[in-house]
Amino acid sequence: MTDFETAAASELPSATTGLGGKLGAPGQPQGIDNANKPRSLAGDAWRDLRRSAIFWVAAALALLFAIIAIFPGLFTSVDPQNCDLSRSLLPPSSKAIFGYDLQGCSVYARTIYGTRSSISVGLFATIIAGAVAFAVGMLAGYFGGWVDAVLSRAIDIVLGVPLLLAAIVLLRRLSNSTHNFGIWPVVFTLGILGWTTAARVVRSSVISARQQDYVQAARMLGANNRRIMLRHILPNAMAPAIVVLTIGLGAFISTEAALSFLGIGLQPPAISWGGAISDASARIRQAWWPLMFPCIFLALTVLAFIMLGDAIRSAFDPKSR
Amino acid sequence: MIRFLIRRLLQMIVAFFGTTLLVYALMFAAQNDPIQALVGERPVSDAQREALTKQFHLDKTGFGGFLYRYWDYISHLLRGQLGTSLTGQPVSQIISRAWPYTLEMAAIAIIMVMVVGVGAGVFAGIHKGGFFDNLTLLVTLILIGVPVLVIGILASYLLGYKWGIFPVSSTDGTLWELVLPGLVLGSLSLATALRLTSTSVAENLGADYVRTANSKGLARSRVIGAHVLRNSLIPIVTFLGVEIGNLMAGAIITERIFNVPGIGFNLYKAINTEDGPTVVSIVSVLVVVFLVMNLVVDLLYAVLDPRIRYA
Amino acid sequence: MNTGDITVNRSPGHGLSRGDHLVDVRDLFVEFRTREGVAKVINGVSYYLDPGESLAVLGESGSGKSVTAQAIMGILDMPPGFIPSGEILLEGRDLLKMPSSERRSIRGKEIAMIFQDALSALNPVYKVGYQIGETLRHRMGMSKADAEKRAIELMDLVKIPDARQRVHEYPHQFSGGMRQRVMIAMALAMSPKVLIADEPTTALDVTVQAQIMDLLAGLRRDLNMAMILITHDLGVVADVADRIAVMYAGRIVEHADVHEIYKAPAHPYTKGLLESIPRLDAKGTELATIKGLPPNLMHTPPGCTFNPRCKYVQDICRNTVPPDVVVGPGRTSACHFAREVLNGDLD
Repeated sequence: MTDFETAAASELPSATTGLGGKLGAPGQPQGIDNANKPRSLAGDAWRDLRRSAIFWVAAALALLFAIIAIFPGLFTSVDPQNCDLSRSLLPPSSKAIFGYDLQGCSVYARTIYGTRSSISVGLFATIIAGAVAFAVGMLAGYFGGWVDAVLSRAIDIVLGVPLLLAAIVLLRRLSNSTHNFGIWPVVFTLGILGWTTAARVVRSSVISARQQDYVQAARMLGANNRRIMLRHILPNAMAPAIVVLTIGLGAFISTEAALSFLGIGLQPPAISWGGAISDASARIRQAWWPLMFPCIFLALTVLAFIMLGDAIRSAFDPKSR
Repeated sequence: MIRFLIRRLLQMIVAFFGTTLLVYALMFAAQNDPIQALVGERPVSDAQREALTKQFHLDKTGFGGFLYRYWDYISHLLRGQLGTSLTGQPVSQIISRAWPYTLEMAAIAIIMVMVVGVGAGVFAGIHKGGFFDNLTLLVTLILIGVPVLVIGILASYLLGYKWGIFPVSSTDGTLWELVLPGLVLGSLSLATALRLTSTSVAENLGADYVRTANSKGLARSRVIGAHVLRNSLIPIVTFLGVEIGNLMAGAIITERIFNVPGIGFNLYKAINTEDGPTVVSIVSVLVVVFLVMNLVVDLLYAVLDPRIRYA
Repeated sequence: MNTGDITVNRSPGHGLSRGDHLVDVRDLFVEFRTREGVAKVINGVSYYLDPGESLAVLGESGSGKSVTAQAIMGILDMPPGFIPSGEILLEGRDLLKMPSSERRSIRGKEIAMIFQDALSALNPVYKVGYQIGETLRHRMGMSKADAEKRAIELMDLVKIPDARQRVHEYPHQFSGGMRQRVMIAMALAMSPKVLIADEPTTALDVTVQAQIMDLLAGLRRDLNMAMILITHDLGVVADVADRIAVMYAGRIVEHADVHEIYKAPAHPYTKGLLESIPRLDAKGTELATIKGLPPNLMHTPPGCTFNPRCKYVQDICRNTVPPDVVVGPGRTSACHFAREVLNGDLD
């Protein structure tokens, strides 16, 4: 069993009365009496996940959008930049199933290519934020003391500014010097501002993992700090962090759309759902299709990741069994 | 209690300087041409350059200069002098005109969150696993998953434009016009509040002290009303503090969608017109509000939970 | 159930006196119906309590001792709990057949219960005096001032110093032993006839344990209150109980006066428990234990549920459920070889 499962095994529900009037079925922890395999938290979680409809729907959606993002050409052969003003605001037809927007671009093509922008931003921002969160959370949780004090204050400070506001300020300033850097200013902004919640989660898992017996044992056997951190503590801090980061991915996509909607996120020629929605909302009375389709795609994508993270969280939560 | 208060105040002061420094640094640190940063794409006349240089003390350079400017900015902020927008209007005036709209909208949102969110959450928590619980889980999942942007646009389109239940944009600033934006603004917080309440209530229903209360022969209404609820509401209060931040972010989007001339809308306008000074000032004010609200929430938490007070 | 030809009294269940008792549990069965199966938690438990008496119910975790008490109080979660059969008589009235409102009015007033962990059993956000006086205000209509006065009296009764000040404090501001006294004071508020103490000292350290047990003994004397003491600790029982009922896997395996059990147990389980108590004069010898673990209540072994762990197990134990053998006046043991164990013939 991995360390994760070993640690999690110590969280098996106890045989006797727990909280309040709810008595657990008295008897033995399952793993000893029955001939069944010992149950671990990860194994239990996967079993629950497999049975959850929400998990499969969310996973399927997420996968679908990922494929659209990686291979937009599979879904449309139309060039999203191929715009002809003479086609402005034509309704959906057999030639263009989502119709045309104000500039005469195919709404379908732009929506498909917008998937790539949004998911890329979400993914890379999550990677950056995740890396920072793990580093900060691990150091703060493992070393404690003044390292923790300083890092926790840093977390508080960055948390003290709501993400959207800070992103607005930073992007405002970056946009002056970084024209045509594509998605990277937004990725960078979200990544270095959005790691705080994940860092807190990592920190608290590290703190509780650090106190486990097997960490003391490893230290006694002479393992140095780096080894303990990477080999013993990291696997256990993963699960809750993964939940937060999955949800965070959805949140980043949502925030990017909001920033683009406000005009400060992805700039043309980069294609963004938020930007499309913003452009389309001015002409809502004349045409609903340039507005609705990006909205639906955006909603489904964010929903998919958030549902995914939520399903994973429920599966791993020992209290909800 | 006093010790707790003092500690919290000190934390808030540290956080205040930290966050304003962060905002300031985001805007101005390591700038080649700070004037350009302030005005964005616009061309700047020499007279404007001089005025801005004076206003922001941009003649002071280097790291020391940066700190000097930061200190200057802070002292102005604390005195309520928020500088002048690039349109010539004092920022404080912009804010004071916009504030009532945002406040009313936020009030509508918060009332909805408390009444509907907490109310439904209590019911769902008591009947955990029941139909209502599962229904609300699904609805809240959608509300949390679908971005505020989309909810606002759809609400504006369907409830406003298509079915005409609510006015589409704010013209007279009457309260009714703010109802739909308020509801949209509160939708995300409502969903989170509902889930949090139902989890909290369900957990507390299984607590040992509930078993004790039952063994004292107290009526169920008292057990739930006096014992469970009182304990369940504690995490919800802390949650509210965090939500203020989300409400602020949401306000920008909601006001833009519904054209409510509040703080968020003005911030959006300032972004669009690349009005640097206004952006910085408004964001700073919002950050301060956020910090103060968090302090209030923490104090409320201490009032509700004696374990914090007499730790 | 094969009863063989040994003298047996299966009805009203404890084969002992048939008179009217204050509390009379008769042939109680309790099941826990879960998704994974049905756990037979209580299998034909019978015991009784007379006014002013003290009965100790002894057993390991999972033996069902707490569940029986909670069934008496009526605070079991049903579902998943389910009572297929049995009677719980309070002064002759069957609690299980009462309407729930009547049942509720008895709770706290005639039977009160105190729990193991006072910190979690008390509501952390209300003052101690408020909680002690809660039943006085809400069930007896006392005014706030009167209730507080009475709360102070009760706190004095359980020997909490500075009651007048401490009545305004919160549970977390008390030490473990003091908190337990608060719980006792709370339970005594409406002067119940019966006090059920569910492992009241398990969470406390040894010196405090002794104090609390002394307090309970004294209160019982002074108030002539009957007490059911639930515990797993044999040491605690000796000074306080009049009679002991030893439980294993949801059944009472031995029922006797306290002195007799210590002198000569009549059931292998009781014997094992007594032998496993570490003794000061046994330095250097190995600690005796009862090998094995309590059974999974969803799949109990056939025959005597103790048979996998019993030193004296024979074939009959593996296929026949032992009856309650009467081995003396007011004394039973659920073992095929009860008399032999009692007389020490098997060692």
